[in-house]
Amino acid sequence: MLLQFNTGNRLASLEVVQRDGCVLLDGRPVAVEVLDAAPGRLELRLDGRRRRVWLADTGALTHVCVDGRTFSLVRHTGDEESEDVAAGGPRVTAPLPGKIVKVHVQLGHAVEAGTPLLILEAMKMETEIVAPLAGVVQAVHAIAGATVAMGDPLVDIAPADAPPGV
Amino acid sequence: MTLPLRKVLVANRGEIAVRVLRACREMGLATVAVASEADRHARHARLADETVVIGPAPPLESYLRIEAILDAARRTGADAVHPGYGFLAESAAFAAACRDAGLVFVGPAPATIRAMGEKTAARRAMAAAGVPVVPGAELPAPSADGELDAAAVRATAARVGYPLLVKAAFGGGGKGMRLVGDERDVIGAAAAAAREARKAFGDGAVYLERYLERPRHVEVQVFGDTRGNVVQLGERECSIQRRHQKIVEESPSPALTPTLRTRMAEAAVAAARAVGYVNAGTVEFLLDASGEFYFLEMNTRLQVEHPVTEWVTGLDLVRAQLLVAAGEALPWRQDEIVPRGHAIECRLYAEEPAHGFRPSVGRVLLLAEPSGPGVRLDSGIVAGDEITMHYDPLLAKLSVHGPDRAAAIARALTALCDYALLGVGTNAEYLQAILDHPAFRQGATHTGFIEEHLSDWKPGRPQDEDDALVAAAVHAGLVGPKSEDGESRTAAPPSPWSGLGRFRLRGLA
Repeated sequence: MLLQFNTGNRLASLEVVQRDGCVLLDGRPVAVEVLDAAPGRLELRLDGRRRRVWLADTGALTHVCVDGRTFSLVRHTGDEESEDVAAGGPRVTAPLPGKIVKVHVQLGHAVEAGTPLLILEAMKMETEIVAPLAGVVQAVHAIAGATVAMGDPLVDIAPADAPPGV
Repeated sequence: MTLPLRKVLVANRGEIAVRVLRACREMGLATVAVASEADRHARHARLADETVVIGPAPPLESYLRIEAILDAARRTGADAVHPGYGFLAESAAFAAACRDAGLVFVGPAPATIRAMGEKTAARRAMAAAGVPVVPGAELPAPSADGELDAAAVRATAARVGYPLLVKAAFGGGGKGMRLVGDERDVIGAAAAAAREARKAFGDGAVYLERYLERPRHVEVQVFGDTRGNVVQLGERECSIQRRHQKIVEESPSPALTPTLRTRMAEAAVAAARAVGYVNAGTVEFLLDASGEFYFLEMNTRLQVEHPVTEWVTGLDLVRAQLLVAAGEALPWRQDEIVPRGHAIECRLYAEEPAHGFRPSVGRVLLLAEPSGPGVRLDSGIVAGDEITMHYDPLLAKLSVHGPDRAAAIARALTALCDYALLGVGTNAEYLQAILDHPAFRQGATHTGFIEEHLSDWKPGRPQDEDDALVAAAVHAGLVGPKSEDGESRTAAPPSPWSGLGRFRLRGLA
């Protein structure tokens, strides 16, 4: 049995060697002893180190807390597709849920990396969203006054070195 | 004890509402909580004897609606209102409305709140009382449509000198505040600050203040009663800030000599006396590297970080607030207030420190909290809660007490290791990085500490990440312990936590 998790830092693979005690983490063996298991909690001995670990699942995500440090691991299935590619160019999305205060750019505007695109307000703080690269504004999804969720598309930019409208 | 108070309405939410409700219960006072529709089943709403739902989730439609809160007090027969901090705590209009409705407001007089709430007026009052203030200047008021006079802004800024801060006259907590390095940015920053201030505080007036390089933030807790007594309860250092908001506070400050401590305490008491201060208040100072200190502002309410003062003095500030509001004398004389040991508070926020501290939202899937000698957790949440963008992202405050600073740091680090919240990103690991930093351990703190030492911080120590991965594999059933007959079995059955979120706890209420 093989499992793959994306940690945000890397794609890690885990493979069982002995079901009762050894896994290969990216090819490196780790001795595992399960001392206790309760809903949401595991007591483990890993290579001789005792660890208390908290876990919870949401969909494809497994949240794990080790010594006050939390990891959100994405179970990797190998068929994810980049949104950027699908949209035909880099898409700027809302980094957090909030309200659009002001939109600075319009369709066809040329932007440099760092050009302010719009102002997003969340938790009563204004955040300026800037262009990640130089190019031409290909689509403006953001509307001043509208509320957006995290990940909602805001602005599409055709990179400067690519023809617009592709 | 017979107080003229019987029933207290707590006009707040989250950990501070829980803190105040507990104090009321300890004093035998009946309690009323108010809650938005989103908070109907929140921790504070369930702790009170009665709960009144006062409107939809957005604060402007609930926790900031004075009429709705007064109506809740009338309907439940409450005779006092405790505002907590934030929301209406520093609204003179709210304090006055409570008084006009025949309710005891647990805080200073409306006129005091007004005088200290307008930062520019407060600066003038303090200067008149002989308390040093940060050099700065007021800006002409924006026009009716919110536009600032650009030439006047530039001229005033040139007089104050760069770098400078644009601050909201009615602001606090970093909202409506902008750091400006040179003339090119001053107009845009002033306009943005004014816009933010108008939205957050209902008034777009801003002023300019010289930006002090690498200052420490040191504040003094003061307390006055209606008999004219004023005491000070020592200082708190709150230099560790992100986005101008405190995240780690401690008492005593590692920077103060006994002489400086005495001078600062005397200035704070003079400031409180100058405005006839009644109830709990905090006089905030900036302390520069040369040992000069300047009045920053006075907060006319209980402070978020009051637990560190409670730890070192052994006193209960909320209880004293209620006694003083009831017309009693302060329960302590100055010579009875003797700080002991060292206390540190860490604010646990729903945010992503590695991504510009952006707020995180979601459901709390699992919550495990630390405990033990010298460990206190003031929490406003329970497992199953939905953390939304409507409210301040403060989830809980961890505070610890130890015989000295090194012991307090060790105790806080250990307690943070025992804090587990899954489902919503928190700054728990970041707080560990702060406390564990050599500069913090040396007490070399200043308000730019985070930018100087932790700007490129990344979460996820490699060993912990590896351990988390292996644990996830065990959780997924990849590895199991040996059963007695030598056969393997699955260690972790499918987690019942995943499917039950909303229903599980909501169902109890």
